[in-house]
Amino acid sequence: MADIMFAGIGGQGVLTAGKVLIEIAAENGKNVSWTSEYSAEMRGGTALCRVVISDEEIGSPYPDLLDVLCCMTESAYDKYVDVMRDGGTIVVNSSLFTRTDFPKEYKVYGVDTAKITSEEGNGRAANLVIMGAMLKATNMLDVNEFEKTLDAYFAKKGKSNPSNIKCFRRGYEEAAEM
Amino acid sequence: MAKTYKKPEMINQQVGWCPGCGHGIIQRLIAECCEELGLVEKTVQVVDIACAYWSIDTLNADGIAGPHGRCAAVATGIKKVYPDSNVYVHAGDGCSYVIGLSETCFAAERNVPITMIVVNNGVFGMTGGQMCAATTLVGDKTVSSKKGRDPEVAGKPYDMLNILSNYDIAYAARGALYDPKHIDQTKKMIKKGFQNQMEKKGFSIIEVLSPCPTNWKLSPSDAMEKIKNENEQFFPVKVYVDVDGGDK
Amino acid sequence: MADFKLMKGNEAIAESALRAGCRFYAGYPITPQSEILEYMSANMAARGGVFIQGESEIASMSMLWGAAACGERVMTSSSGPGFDLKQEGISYLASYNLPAVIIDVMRYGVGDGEITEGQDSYWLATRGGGHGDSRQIVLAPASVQECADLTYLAFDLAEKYRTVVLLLSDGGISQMIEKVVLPEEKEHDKSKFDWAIKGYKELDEPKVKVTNLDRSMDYDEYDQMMRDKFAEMHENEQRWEEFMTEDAELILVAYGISSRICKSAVRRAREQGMKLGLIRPISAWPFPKKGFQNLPESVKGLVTVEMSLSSQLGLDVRMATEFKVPLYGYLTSKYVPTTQGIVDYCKDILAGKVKELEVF
Repeated sequence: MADIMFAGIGGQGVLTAGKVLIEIAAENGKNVSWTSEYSAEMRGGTALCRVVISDEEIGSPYPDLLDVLCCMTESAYDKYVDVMRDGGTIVVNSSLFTRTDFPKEYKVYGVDTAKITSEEGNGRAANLVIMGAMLKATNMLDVNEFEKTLDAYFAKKGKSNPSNIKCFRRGYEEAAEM
Repeated sequence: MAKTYKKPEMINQQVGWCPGCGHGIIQRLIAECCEELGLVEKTVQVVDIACAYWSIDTLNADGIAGPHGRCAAVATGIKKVYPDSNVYVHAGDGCSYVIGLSETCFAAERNVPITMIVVNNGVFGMTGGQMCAATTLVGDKTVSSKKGRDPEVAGKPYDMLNILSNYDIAYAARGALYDPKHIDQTKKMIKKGFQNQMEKKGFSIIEVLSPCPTNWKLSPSDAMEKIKNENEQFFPVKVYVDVDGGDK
Repeated sequence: MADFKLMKGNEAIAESALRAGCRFYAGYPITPQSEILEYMSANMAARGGVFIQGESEIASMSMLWGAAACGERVMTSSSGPGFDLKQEGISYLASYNLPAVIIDVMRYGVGDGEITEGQDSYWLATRGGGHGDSRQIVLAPASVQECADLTYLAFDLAEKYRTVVLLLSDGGISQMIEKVVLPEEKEHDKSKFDWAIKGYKELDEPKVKVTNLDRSMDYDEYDQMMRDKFAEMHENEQRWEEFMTEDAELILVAYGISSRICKSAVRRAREQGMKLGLIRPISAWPFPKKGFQNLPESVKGLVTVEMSLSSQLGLDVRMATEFKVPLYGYLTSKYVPTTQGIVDYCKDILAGKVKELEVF
């Protein structure tokens, strides 16, 4: 159904974004896989995870062509835009992007994660904003269902916080095609 | 009235140690202690692949021989599975203090309630009498230190009981076998080691200064004299640690 | 899918081991398998078992040797250079025929190599076991579900044959999160074995002497027993999966993480009209020879896909096919193969651009 990558730098929550996504997709009956690129450094550096969501048995958990690329940084975009499938969707964190022109063969959505997270006073929720934007761009899962499961996900972890959901919802609502 | 000493029932086979070797005396003391403390049925012996290995068949108890040097770790595995059993190690100084230094130290570090009985005979006995880094005295001749141990080349021996005294353990003591008085004292030390184990007090180690006439190329009685006059000067017979605060 | 969990491969291995009745774990940290050790440290005590973070892999193996000799279900895990240090213990366990489960989560490279995914310890796992010629059953999971299922099975096989069973995972499979349905919790009775040390024995009961070789029999008898055991395991424990092989022109041969990419490659190639198939060894030893006995008429060649410098699988495939089928090797060493890379390589083979693999 979709080969997805979240990429950025350590601390932006890209690994968690992938984990939240597979949790919700799995609850919805999909097969899922999540892999990260792990390195010897415990902190900093690039961080990325690949997520595969599928109705059939998953082959490669390291897709070499992406349907969806969520970039928290411009360098992540530069590095991985070449492995996009034609007609794929790119979601960019416009707060950290200077580029404004994008290849025509992709659908590109942007969202200002810095603005939303600072207005909501939730500096760690940039990944949730991006997820909201991704859902808007892809229509992969029903947004209301997704929001409910997201809420339950945080409750289960003992990290219930209404602003998490708000950041996600605003990401969804404020994401715009670029 | 004369006292008659009988062979402990727990020893049920003959064994092939060299004449004048201390291992047999140690084995007998172990068996006597097990019998006197009523531990025969609960005892599991862990022996090293070296001269101590011969003891595995002679004792009427379950036994295990592990990779050379790993006795303390093997005993840890058994003791953790059967905490109420009397799990002891019978091994040499090469096993316990050289190749298995780490295993011995970490059994002490974890204060695993096992009893280690370490035979200090100053050589690698089974392989033909090579120098033992921990216990061969400076100047002692062995087949791998033919002109006598040279500290410039091979360093100096070390007193492991001093080192182990820094760990939070139940008991550390050194005995000897060169006269009945010392044999009796050594037996009390081994007994204390078993009692500590049964009372779950922690790790106990008893090192025994023991002769190896074959590799020392001495008669059995001269070997005993050497221990008394030379080895004991560097490796004092005493109690290093006693969690019960007994005589040191 | 009933009652699934999302877990990393490593976590599934550890939880499944506990459910299989594993009550003794000793190990030493090394990436990419440390989650197994961490999971055991957090969850073993609640099951009433023993967890020890050993001072080294060697000491951990010796602790395992002691606990296995008591009939306990025991496990350890390591990777790369740490797995080298397990070899002494594997040889001893094999010598006295003690059951144990050992996990090797392969990482890349010789020496310290890298902590990233790798598959180059295949030879060590399938030919290894330290000195002396013992054989161990080696199972290679290709999904988180198989991490759970094969670990669970490993304990039963270890006891059935009184052998070490290795689970040959890799950084890809072990670090990946997928759905898994965990097996049922079961109890293990360590006192049921007549070969095991007991904590208490009456004076007149026969005693067990756990030693180098089984000295309750003579050398000839022992050798024959070992040969018979290897032959029995070889005959009975070959496991493999065939995927779209019926009409394949080229059949990929891969296990673990590489086999997952191969599945995608088979699908992509078929969309483009090239008929690929896959034979996936699930048991690396015994190598599933039987899976190669009835290859379809359509086959023009076999292609191993491995993350290694030399083709380690190649020799086994050559033997399984008695050197009769053309063999190629797509060897990616440090890098997980890509779907397109495999597809392109196979196109080149069919176009006659690729030389056959020489195995040495």
